[in-house]
Formats: sequence, structure tokens, C-alpha cells
Amino acid sequence: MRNLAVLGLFLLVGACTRPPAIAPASWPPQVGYVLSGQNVAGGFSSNALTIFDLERLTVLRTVPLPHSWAKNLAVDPEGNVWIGYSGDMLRSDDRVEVYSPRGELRQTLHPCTDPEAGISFAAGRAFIACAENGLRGQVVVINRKTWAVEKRIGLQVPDAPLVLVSSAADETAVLILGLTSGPEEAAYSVLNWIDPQQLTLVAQYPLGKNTDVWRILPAQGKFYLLNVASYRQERARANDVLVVTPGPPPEITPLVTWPAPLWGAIADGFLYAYHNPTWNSTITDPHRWLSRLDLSSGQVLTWTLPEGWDAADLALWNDQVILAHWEYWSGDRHDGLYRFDPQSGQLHPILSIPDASAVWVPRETSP
Amino acid sequence: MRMRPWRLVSVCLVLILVAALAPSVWAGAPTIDLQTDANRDGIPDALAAEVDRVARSPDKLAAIAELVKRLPYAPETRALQERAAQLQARLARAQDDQEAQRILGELRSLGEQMMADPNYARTVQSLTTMFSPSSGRPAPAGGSPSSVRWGDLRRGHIMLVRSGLWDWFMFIYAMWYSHAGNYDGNSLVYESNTDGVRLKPLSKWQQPGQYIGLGYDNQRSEADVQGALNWAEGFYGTDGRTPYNYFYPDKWTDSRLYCSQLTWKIHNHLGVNLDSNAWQYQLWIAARWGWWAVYAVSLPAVAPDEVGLDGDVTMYSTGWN
Repeated sequence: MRNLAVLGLFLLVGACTRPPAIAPASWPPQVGYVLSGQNVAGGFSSNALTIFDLERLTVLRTVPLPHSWAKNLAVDPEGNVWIGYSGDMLRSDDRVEVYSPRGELRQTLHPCTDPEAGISFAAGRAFIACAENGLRGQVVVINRKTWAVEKRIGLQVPDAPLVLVSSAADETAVLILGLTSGPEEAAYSVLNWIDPQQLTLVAQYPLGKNTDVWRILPAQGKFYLLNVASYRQERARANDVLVVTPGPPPEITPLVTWPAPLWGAIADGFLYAYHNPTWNSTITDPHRWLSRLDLSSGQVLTWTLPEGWDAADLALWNDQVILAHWEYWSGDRHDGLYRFDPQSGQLHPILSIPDASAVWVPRETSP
Repeated sequence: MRMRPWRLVSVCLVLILVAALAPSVWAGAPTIDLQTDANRDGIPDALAAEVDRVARSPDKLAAIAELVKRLPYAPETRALQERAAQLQARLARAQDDQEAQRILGELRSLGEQMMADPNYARTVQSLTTMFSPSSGRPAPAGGSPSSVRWGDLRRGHIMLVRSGLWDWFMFIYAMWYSHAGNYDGNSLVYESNTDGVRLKPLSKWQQPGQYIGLGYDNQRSEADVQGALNWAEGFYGTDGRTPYNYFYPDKWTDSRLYCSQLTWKIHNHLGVNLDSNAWQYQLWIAARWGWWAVYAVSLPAVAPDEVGLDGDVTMYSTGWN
């Protein structure tokens, strides 16, 4: 009975607090998107795509989404918002929904199982990375004009699993990162490089011990891989960021910045990253940090965040660092977007959104 | 759905027998007072005393049967439990996964309908509180950091999870834990989902709001368990080729696996039986679904809760993410 009462309360509160799903007549020139989609313990009851006015920081529209794990949102060059779903702790999903820039559902695709490893765009196509069953993954290439599947590219490594977790693309390369097994108790990753024009797997590169990449940032012909598993590495030889320059052969250059970068974005020659050593790891260090890497000089600045303060995503807007944050136990009181002030080192709430777990703003170079 | 014929017949016979006997057993029994809670612990005093009596009884099944028949459920609730027994029997004859899922959906619906009976709801809630690892303690507030000892996790360790308030909608026979997995090392978890046996990133288990139990087999060495894990990955695969087993009582089959069945198989390979058939779980499932469920579900199947309550498992960390 208590469960039903709580369920009823959830529904009532949701019905009372959500703005009507009607787009305003005047649409602002700059909008951002927030995805609420990771609260598995809450049954994904607040799953939504929130469209907000970037200048006024007001919610324009809240589009309810299916109650299924939604980890990433991606925006294609036409402004359409792509969201992949991956079920819950017991079930998988195969849906990808595509919304118009104003939040109208345009397409529901069923490309493959658990399309949760990112959706990226190049050559007029969408590349949907699917975790599938964890032994091997799949990239499904969608023609963005016809919505047709152009090709399915299977990804696997010999005699080992491959759990796809992240992806990104530019016009020269699509990079797909996956976890695999290794001889020691550490994370091991494999970089898969797909040619977006020929739709072929060009090469695979094992990245070695203590590599685990959940965010790939394309910028100016390079890809910056944030390695959250760098926490365990010897500092002087750590590969906190792996810079991949596509080419035959590709160049992979490690950078020492700060341990355990997880989410990040690049703008105006700076790479900002949020660091969480506990992510997908048995490490229990409560410290969280932000860092800024000057891509031209290599200089690194860091800030310490409150202990245990988990960010679900990071974006940059007008030289401001915006973090998405949600907490299960505090209800919806602290969920939403925060702005980080580098001068004071403080976090300031700027938009309250239940279960805010991903954010996208225009002009950023993160996927 | 594949099942050995003799097992199917025996399960059906048990269900028919239990359904036939049930009305005469219930008739005229004095009911348990569920209203008095003098110590204000949220558990009816008489129910707590009856549970204590079961705990001390040498014949736990008989004591559970006695307790359950004295629960003051509405006749409609008893009828729904009988209906659930029939559905469970139909599940054994399901021809494919779609039919199995439909029947499970009907069972779930029955479970929700029964909650309309306040005595039933109070009983189930009280038993869950008494037997859960959290002992009824409320979830932490205010964005507390994880209390789970993730740092002690080793390859081959047993992982159990309850996903917040909503487990009812996931696994109908879950008392507390709704899912089981096996840490495979390298930040990966080997588990069986509805799409089959597979690997998933550890981060999915570390999402906020989930209650986690971590344990290890205290009967075998870490190396032995890791060897059994290797065996399981070779035998059942990690590629989904072994599909999900919707008929939970048939834990012996190797052609289909549900989550805790996979965990049970790994350790059973070493001669360690993690199906505790714990009296706490049997009491809970009898109160929740009817006495029939002890014989039709708890004894033949292995639920995540039964693994967590097994004496061969040392649960070294339980808590909320």
C-alpha cells in the first residue's frame, strides 16, 4: 500500500509541477536541452526532455519520455534531438527517438539492442552505437534523410568481451570506445575507428591498462578521450586525456592533466572536465574536481568540488561551465543545472529540473 | 519454454493439491491481530510474535503454513492468490517468451490488486521490513555518499540489487533484492537479463538510489570461484546465446537462465548450493502469493533473496548507493 501511495504521490506531484507540453508562440533564438533519464531506482518516473531558453534560463517545454534508461542525448546538424534507450536493470530496449528542435517526436527507430553508447553524426548519417550483449557491439548507420539503415557494423575483439560505452564523430572518423577484459583488476579499453564515408572499420587499438573512456570530444580534427580510469596511474606517466589524430596510422598522444576526467567540453581552446574517480570503478574516493586544460599551452587549472558531488554531464556556454546534477535521496530539491564560478569556486543552481542527467547547449564542441 | 515433463507434472500436481486443500485449512482458524502495535515499531505485535515462533520452530514449513492460514486476509485476496497459483501453473506450460511475459504481467496485476486489502498490505510490508537487510531503516536523505564497500569487490563476488521503490514492477517474486549478478572484474558484471546472459558495466549497478548487497562464497576459495566463473562464461557464454528463463522454478535447466539462477549455477559447479530456501523468504512468499508459492516457487526456484540469505554467502556490504 505504501508503494502505491508513493506511486500516486509521484504521479500527482509530476502532474502538478510539469509545465504544459505546449511550445510558446515566440521561440527564443538560443535553446538548450536537458535530458532526465538515469533514475533507474525511481523507475525513470521523471524521464523528460526539457527545452530551455539559454538567455533567460527558463523552461520552454518539458517533453515526457519513455520510462527507460536514457543516458545520452545528441543533436544533429539540423537541430534534431536523438535519444537512445536501454531498459533498466533487468530489461533491454532498442528504441531511438528523434525529436524536432522544438520537441515534436519525428521518428522512433529500433536499430539494435541498448543504443546507449552514444549517437554521433557525419557524412549525412547518424552512427548509433549499441552495447548489445556486452560480448560484441554494433554500430548502426542511419541515413538522416530517409531514416533507412545504411549499414550495420559489428564490433568485437578476439577472445574477449567488448562493452561499448561512448562514441563521437567528425567528417574523417567515427570513434567508438568499449570496455574489454584484461589480466589484472583494472579497466581496459579498445578504440574502434570507423570511416564515416566508406562505412568500414578501419582499425582497432587497445588502449591498455587503466583506460575507461565515457566522453570523447572532437575538436579541430582531433579527438580528446577523457580517461576516467587514470586515477590508478602513476601521475607522471598518466594518460588522463588521450589525444587521437586520425590518419594512417592514427596518432595517440597521452596528456597528464588531473586524475579521472569523466565528462567534459571544449570551447575557445580550453578543455573543461569534471573528475570523478568512483565512476564505473571500485574506487571510493569522495573527491570531485573540475579542471581546465589550455590546449595550446598545456597549462592545467583545477578546482575542488564538494565531496561526493556527482555531476552527470558538463557543457560550456558563453565561457561558463554548466553541470547537470541529480540526487536520488533528496527528492527533486537539488536536481538541475548548476553554473560553476571559477572565481569563487562555487556552484550556483541556475535551473531546477528533476533527474537532470545530460545537457546540451549550442556552439559547444562536445558531442 | 522447455521443461522436463516429470517436473512439469509434479509442479502441477502440487499446485492442484494445494489449491484443493487450502479452503479447508483456512476455515475456522483464529486470525492474527494486525492492529495492535504497542511498541510503535511499525510491525503489528502479534505478527512479530508469530514470526518469532516460526524462527524458533523446528518444523518451519508447518509453522509458516499455520501462520499464513491465520492471516486476516479478505476472501477476495485469498481468491486472487488462488488465481495466482493457476497462473503460475500456466506459466509452466507457456509456449514462448511472449506468452510467459503476458502471464507474468497478469501475476503482477494480481499482486497490485491484492494490495487493496489493508491487512494484506500491512502483512507484506511488515514482513519485508523485518527480513530486509536494511531492517526497515529508512533510506538516507540529502544526497548521502554511497555506503556500499565497492572497494572490497573482487572478481567472482556475488552482487544483489534492489532498485528503490519500484521493484514491484520488475521481478514479481522479489522480497527485497530484485536482481543478481556476478562481478567479472575489469569493471564488468556478468549477469542474466531478459535478453539473455551478458556483460554490463559496473556503473549501472552504482546508480544512486539502488540498494546493493555484496557477498562472497565462504565455502570455496576466491580462485575456485573465479574458475567457476570462467567455466560459466564458456558454458553459457557472455553473448546472450543463453536466453532468459521466465519459468523460475526450473533452475536445473542449462538452456535458459535467470539472474540468480546463473549465480546459483556458478557456485553449484563447485558443489556449493546457494539456494537457501530460507524460512524468512518462504514466509514472505507464502504471505505474498499464497501457501502454494512455497512449493511452486521458493523450493524449486532460487530467488536473489534466497542467495542473500544463504549461509554459504558472507554478505560483507549492504547499503544504499
